[in-house]
Amino acid sequence: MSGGQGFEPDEEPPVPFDDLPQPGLPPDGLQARVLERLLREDLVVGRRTRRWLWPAAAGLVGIVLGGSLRPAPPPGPTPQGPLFMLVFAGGPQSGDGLKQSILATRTWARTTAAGRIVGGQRLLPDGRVLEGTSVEREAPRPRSDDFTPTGFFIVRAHDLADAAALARSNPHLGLGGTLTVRPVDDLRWVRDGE
Amino acid sequence: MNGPAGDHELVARFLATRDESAFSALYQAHTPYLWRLAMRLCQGARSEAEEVVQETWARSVRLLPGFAWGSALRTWLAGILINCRRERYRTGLRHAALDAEDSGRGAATNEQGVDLERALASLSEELRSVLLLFDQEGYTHVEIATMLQIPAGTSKSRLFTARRALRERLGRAGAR
Repeated sequence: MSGGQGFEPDEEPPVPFDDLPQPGLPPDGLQARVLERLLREDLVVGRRTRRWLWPAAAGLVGIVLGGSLRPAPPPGPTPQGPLFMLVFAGGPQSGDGLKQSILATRTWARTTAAGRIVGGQRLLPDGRVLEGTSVEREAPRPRSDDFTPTGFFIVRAHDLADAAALARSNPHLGLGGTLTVRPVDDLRWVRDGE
Repeated sequence: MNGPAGDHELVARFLATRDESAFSALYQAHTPYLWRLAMRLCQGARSEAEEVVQETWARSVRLLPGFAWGSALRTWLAGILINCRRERYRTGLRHAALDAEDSGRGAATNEQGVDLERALASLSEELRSVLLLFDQEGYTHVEIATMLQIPAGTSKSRLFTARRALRERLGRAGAR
C-alpha cells in the first residue's frame, strides 16, 4: 500500500482528504451486535454455551433417568425463577427439514434462550407404551401433525407467561411444529438422590 | 499483534477454536480500519456503515478457512467490505433511515470539508470507491483491481476521472 503510486505529472493531483472529518472509532455496541449475529448463524462458539449448557444438559439426563447424578452447576450467574418444560412435537421429522429444525433450535438455545436453559434432550422415534399391568405395545412414531413428544428443554422463567413468551421465540414453531409449556414441580429428592 | 505475523496467529487461533474470544481479538485488530473505510464508502451514514461492517464479518468468518494469504488479511477484509457495500448499493438495500438519521452525517466543520463531502457524494459509486481506496487508504492499483475485480488499468482511469470530476465540482463550489 503506497498512496500516490502511479501518479504522473500530467494526471490530476491527489484529493486533499485531510479536509474531511475523521470517522472516529467504531460504535461501542457494534462488537456485541456482530458477535450476536455470528452466534446466531453458528459461526462462532459462545463462551456461555461452551461452559455450561452441555454439562447442565448432562445433569438433566441424571434427573430424567432417576439416577443420583447431580446437575453440574453453571460457573456463570445461575438463572432465577421456577422451572418449566418446553415439550416439542410435530414439525419436520426427517431429512433436511429435521436437520434445519435441529440447527435452528441449537442456535436459539445459544442466543435467545442462553442463560435460561437448565437442560434439554431430543427424543428418538422408537419407544414402547405400557398400559396398566398387561398391555405393552410399540409407541406411535411421531408425525409432523401430532403431539407425540420429540424433545424437550427445561428452562427458568418468571412465570408461565414468561416461559410461553420464550417458547414463542423458538424456530420450531415457524417450521410447523408445536410446543407445550408446562410448569415443573422440582422434585428435589430425585435430584439429590435422597 | 496487528501485522502480518500477528494476523496469521489470530486467524490460526480462531480457526482452531471458533471461540468467541478468538474472534474478539480478530475483530479488535481490524474493525477500527474497516469502520473508517465503511464510513467513507457510506459517506458518513453510521447505520449503513454498521450494517456493512456486520455483513463483512459474517462473510469473512465463513470464507476465512479458504483464505490463502495471497494478500494481507486487511486487504482481503477490505475487499469483502467493498463488495458488501457494492451489493447493498446495487440492490437498493440502503438503510431506510439513512437520509433522516444521518442527514448531518459528514459534520465537516470547515468550508472546504463541506464542499469536498458534497463533491464526493456526487460521484458515482465506482469512481468514489477507487478514489477513496487510492488517495485516502493508500492502496495500489493492483490491490484495488483485486478488491473491485476490475483490471488495474480501469482502476487507474477511474482514479483520473474521479479526481478531475471532483476538482471541477470543487472549483464550481469555490466560485459561488
